[in-house]
Amino acid sequence: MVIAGKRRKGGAQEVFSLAGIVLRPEAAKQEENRIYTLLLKGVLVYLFVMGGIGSFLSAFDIEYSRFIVNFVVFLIAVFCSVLYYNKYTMNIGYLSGLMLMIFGGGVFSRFINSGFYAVLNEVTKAASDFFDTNAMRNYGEQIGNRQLAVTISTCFIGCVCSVLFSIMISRKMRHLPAVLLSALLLLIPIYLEREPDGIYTAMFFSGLLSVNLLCRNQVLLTQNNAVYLYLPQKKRVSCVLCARAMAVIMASVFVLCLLVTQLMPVFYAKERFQRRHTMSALKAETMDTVENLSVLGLMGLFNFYPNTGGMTGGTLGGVSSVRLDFETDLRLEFAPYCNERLYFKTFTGGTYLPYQNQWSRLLDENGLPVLEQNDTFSGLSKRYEEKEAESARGVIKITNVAAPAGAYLPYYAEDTNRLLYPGQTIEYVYYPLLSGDVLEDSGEPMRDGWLYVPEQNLETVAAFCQEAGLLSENMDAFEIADRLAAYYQETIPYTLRPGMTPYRKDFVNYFLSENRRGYCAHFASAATLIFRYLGIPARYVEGYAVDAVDISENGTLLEEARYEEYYDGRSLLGTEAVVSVEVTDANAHAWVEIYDAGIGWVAVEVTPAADGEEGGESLWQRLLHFLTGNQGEDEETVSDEEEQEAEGLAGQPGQKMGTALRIAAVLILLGAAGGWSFGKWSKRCRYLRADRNEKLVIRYQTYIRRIARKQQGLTYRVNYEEQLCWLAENGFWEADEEELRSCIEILEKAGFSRTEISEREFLRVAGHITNRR
Amino acid sequence: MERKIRYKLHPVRLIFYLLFWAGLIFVYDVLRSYFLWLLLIMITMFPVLSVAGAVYLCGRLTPELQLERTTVVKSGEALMELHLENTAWWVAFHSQMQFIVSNTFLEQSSELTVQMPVTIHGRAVLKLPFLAADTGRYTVSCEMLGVQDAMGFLECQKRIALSKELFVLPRPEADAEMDITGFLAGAAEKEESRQKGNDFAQVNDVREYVPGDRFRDIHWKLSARQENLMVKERAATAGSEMVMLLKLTGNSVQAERILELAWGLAQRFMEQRFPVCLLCWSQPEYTWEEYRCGTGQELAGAFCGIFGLRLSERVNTKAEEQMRNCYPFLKSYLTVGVQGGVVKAWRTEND
Repeated sequence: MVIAGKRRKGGAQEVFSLAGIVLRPEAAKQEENRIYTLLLKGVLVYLFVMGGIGSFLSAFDIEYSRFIVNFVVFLIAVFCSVLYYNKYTMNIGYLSGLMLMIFGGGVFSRFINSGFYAVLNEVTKAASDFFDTNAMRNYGEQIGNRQLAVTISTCFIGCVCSVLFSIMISRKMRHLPAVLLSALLLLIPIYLEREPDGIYTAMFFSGLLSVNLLCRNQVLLTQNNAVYLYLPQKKRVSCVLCARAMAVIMASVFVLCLLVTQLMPVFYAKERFQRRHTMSALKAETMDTVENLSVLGLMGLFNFYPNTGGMTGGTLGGVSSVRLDFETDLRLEFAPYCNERLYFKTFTGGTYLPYQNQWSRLLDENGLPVLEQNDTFSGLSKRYEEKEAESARGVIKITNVAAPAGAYLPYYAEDTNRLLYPGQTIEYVYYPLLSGDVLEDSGEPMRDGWLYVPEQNLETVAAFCQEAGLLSENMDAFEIADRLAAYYQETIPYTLRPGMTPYRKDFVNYFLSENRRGYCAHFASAATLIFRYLGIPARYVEGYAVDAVDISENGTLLEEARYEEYYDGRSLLGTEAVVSVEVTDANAHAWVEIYDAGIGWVAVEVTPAADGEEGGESLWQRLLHFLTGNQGEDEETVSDEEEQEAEGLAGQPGQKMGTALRIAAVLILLGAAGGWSFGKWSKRCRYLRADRNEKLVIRYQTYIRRIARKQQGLTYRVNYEEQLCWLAENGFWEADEEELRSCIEILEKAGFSRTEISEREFLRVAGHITNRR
Repeated sequence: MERKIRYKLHPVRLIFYLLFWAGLIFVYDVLRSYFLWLLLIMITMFPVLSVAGAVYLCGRLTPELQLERTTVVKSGEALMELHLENTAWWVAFHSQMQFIVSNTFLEQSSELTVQMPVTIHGRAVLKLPFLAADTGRYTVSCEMLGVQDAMGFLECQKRIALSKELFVLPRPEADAEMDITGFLAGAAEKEESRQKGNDFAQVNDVREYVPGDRFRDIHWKLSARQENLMVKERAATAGSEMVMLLKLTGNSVQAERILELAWGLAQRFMEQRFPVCLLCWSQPEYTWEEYRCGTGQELAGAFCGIFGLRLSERVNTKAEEQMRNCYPFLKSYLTVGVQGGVVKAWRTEND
């Protein structure tokens, strides 16, 4: 069978022949109801523009006359759409509209400016509140009646948007720039955690979805008003526009959006949503960036120091925020003996280096770094050996899971100068300090450095001591520590997001005098210098702190472990149990040691309690939870037991393998789908770019390849003649001898000749391929 | 068992939509806004509703194809109407039908894709006026109706059986205006010469005269005896009709010219009250098909019959030999065919 097709031109539209039947659209042209369609498009423009503007303004609670703005925008949107009735109305209408806008802009320029500035000021104020910064600028509003100014300004902006959007939408539904612009604009209130009004949200969503649907269905507005478009090249008669379908779909979309935006809050209130959803890590990071940017300029965009839960080996101020990953760093096995906080220190700071914002590592007489100097244990061990009542001896096994190499020493332990590398386990023997009794020999040599306060910090530290009332002479070291902790608690909030220390500013000075907020490193560093200033030997320490609550919540009872092997002596808890505790970077901490002549170095806690601030779970963590079947941490419905069980399961190697396999499967599927789509797309592009000869050869080759996959016989046919003869013999090419000969000639001409084959020839061969398909 | 409705997925659109959806999830995860949550709900719901709407709609569509006439003269205009009845309360921007328009005689075919809107609980009509450019028997058929969901992810394809037939008859050629008296005289002379002595063996029947009968067919002797005019009815091919052989070639252009010339000549003969017997070769039956035409309607019917087979099945390169074998009693006949590269009619002796 031969396909024939002739392109003929006639009348306003091209006509085309179908095997001898020539379609003549001009003989019975079906025209759309122009006004109806234009009105619908006007409504669409109104929904989109007013939805966007209304959402933005309502998110910031800006007052304006809603009725006037809606009315004006609706009129302008419909007017702009109706202008497309024909080219004369379009040209004259746009010219007159432009003149009107210029005139209106000139007459109401003060109102428009003032209204615009009012909106800008409101946004700035909201941003300022959100970022907790004052580095924002206010614009002067010239008109006292703010509501009027905003109304006029909004009308003007609505007009401009309607004109622009009409141009985009009324011609070829090029809505992407408008959507991107609106989306970017609406991201501002969303980012600042301002929610728009429900009705405007419904309008915006319905406009967005309707435009998208119309665009997907290639609904156009052609100049010749034809409902059907004749496309001879594609042999297609295509419906351009159906106003009734458009109206039904637009109405359905609007009703759906209205239902969702109005009914969803009934079932799941906005406040409940906000309670359940904490700020994401990425957003918090962007907030830090904005804050740093506002304080430090462009250099604030970079963080210079590694972030290990605030534990930075004495390097201070380089991170704007502490981001916790809650992954296990250390695993402890020991017998709890008291409810007090247990410290495991890994860094002891000697001298504070102002403006370098660093604590120098403690060095011994030979200038080598000292991991620990703690001779107090000798007194305690002596007590234990003498079997005194208030003495004990404990053993703790510390496994470094994923922490940096360090000592991680418990207080009053033997064998202190050893590094614990990731994957290693170490066992320490320690002697708990169970009473505040003065020991006979503390054994710690005094150094001048323990009282050294850099000159650059003296003034600030002195002023702070004065402010905090720490200069009273009749207080001992521990009373001073208590007062300082209380003062910190009252006046300086704890935060994991204090911001970076600006360049050319000292960490302690900036904290005490300007920023007045921070996390443990800030409090401990400042406290160390304060103690020293007050004549109390002090040093800065970093490590991990484990509270009794961590043990009770995160600890696992080791039932098979023998208590005697882990602890001997008096226990303040009175229970005999050995536990294993996972220590995460949330336990990382910095504190102060002060020297007491009777006891030696004692850990002092001055950091105030956190106010419940937590880092959010990242997208990948949530994805991981989703894939493993575990719920996120913020899911209230999951009980503690279930959570523990789930965490336990997630930790099993089989579960991890399953997770990895699922992720791999998803990635492979996505990759395969992407690759397949790309392959199809590139083939299609190649075909569209090709001339007629190449197109025929491509179609023929594709056909041959498909058959050759199942028919081995065709594989050995190398030229067109052999292939076609084989196809004809095997029933894959229905043609008589004459037709077969013609097809071979056409294919050879297409494949090897520079002469382009005619469309009739192309269709003749392509018809065989199409028919077989 | 073949399914009534098939579903065709558009994976590229789906993948892009999923990418967009994933992007929105990412933005939502970062900003965690109620506004974005609502948008996410809608973006998730909409494809589901869209696909459900298309599936619901597909079962409730009834297409209908209407042709103004079943026969049309070449270059004549006609109207084809495509109706799409929707009994559902839902719409679609596009329903798609793939028509195959084929000229079975000239062995030409072409595809036509028609995209029509589906109006809510109503009927959409697409008028397709056309002009028949080639002669032959046309079939317009469609086996599949596809409805695409509003989002364009899924096409529901429903099996339908739409088919219409149209015959495009030849338009008389200018050459047909040729003087046919020679053919007529020759034919009559031959006939008379063959029937020596008024041989009754060649007469099938004798009946009463009706106005319009030729004078030479009157049986004068019998009429004289019965005092009523009686007419001899002769055997078919050897009767008083013009035997016209259509000697078609495989070339479609020439074939069309031959048919047009034959059409014109036959009309002229019939105007002269000279019935025509068209002979056209049928390869499947391996014989000559005979079409007797006395009126325009019969002539149209004859051509419709000729168009019933493919052109290649009407070609006989040994026409004269076959004629001698099949019609040995026929003295001569009129051949319409190609001679010296020119389409013309000539008298052929059957000896």
